[in-house]
Amino acid sequence: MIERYEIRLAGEGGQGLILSGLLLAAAVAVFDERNAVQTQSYTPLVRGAPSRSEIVISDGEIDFPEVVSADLLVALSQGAFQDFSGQVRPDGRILVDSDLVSLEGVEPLAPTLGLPFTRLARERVGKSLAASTVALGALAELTGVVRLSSLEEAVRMRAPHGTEELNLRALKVGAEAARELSAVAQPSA
Amino acid sequence: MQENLGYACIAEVPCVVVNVQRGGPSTGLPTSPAQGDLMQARWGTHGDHPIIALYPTSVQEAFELTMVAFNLAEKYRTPVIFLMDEVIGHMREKVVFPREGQIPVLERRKPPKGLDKFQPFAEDDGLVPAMAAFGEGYRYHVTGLHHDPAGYPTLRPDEINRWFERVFAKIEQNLDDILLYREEDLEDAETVILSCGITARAARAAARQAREQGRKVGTLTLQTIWPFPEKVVRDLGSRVRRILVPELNRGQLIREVQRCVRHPEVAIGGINRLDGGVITPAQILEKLEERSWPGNSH
Repeated sequence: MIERYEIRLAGEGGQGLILSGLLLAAAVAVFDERNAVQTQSYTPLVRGAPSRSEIVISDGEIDFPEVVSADLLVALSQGAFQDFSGQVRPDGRILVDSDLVSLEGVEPLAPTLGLPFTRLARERVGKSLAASTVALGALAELTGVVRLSSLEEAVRMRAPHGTEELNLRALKVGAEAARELSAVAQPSA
Repeated sequence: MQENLGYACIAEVPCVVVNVQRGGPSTGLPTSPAQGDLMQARWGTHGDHPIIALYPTSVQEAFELTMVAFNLAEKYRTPVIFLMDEVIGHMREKVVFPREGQIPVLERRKPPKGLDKFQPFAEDDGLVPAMAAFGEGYRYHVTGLHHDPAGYPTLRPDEINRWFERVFAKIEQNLDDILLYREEDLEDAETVILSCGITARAARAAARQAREQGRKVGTLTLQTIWPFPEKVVRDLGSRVRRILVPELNRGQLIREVQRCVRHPEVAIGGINRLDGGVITPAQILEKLEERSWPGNSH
């Protein structure tokens, strides 16, 4: 039973965050049969500017649809990490692209884990654009808030035509990488 | 858009116009929400006219109210503005579709076939004239000028006055059918949060949290904002102590509330946000606890 679980996927325009949010929400709402709301925030600029997608999951009705205090932050850029790492619940979790986000000099509020999503996407999926789908696979494995099989169904249903196989591979790569992961940073007590 | 809406008003053209509001003026904040067009929806086109404007709070309501919008447009031969917030326009959320056959579809009233003379704006059978589609056998005149029952321009004061009376009456006499709103926890409420669109979802969350703290807070969510539910708000003003109106503008909805509430002792306050973000439940709760509000001074 989930009362309210808030996920923020943040990074830059062009990293596929909006699509990932959509896939995650569809996986939860359609295939896990929970309620989910996905909202997004982006700028009029196409690439490089801050972009984020937020998903609220609940077994009940979801009134306020935006993230108030995230249970999970996925940060795919240094800027996203800086902007949002302070808006995570202490018992929440932060997941970063370890090649793109440096934790130097920062004491995250919540346990922070790193994986090279973009590198994994480039080297093992064949397209760096799939980074946020790789992150989705890792997210499913680490939190259990969505079933990996539901994400796969969502990809088959909603991923842009012709990218289904690539996104399915990205989910698998992300889940595998998460399984091998150990924590890279813990909040100081 | 506004010029054509005016044409639809005077020619009584059933149509639905969707306005997903963004931060303005001009290009403004094209990817961010704002509720700055409430008055534009009411008065954007020139000339006095009635209008219907609906306002959903969720994706499910966007689906359901769109059907209502078309039905109202057809039934009353009027343009209907479908106002939305950018957040809801871009939101993904669960939608449950009705089964086929469970969707009520109202069609405009049509004139009987084979009339010798079809009067496109005649009050033959009620306030909403029957409307013949082009190509269905009747030849008639449509103009943006004030017109007589036959559709031809008129300057006769009696015909012009009757037109105004009729088009306002067809809305005002059917408010029970047109006004949609959602009341929650109003039975014992001392404070009511009155809002629409995305702001209503923050209001609901805030009211729920306030209730958990033992405060008597309810919500009134307007799904029809035009015509404004004057009587509903007036009655509310005689039952509660405080009305809070959060909105993503400098205060458009609150003016209507102030206009309708007849009891000067009722405190009416607003929360306004224009920077591209939405009003959060925490902001509303904070306002409810502000010392300057009556009942908070202890």
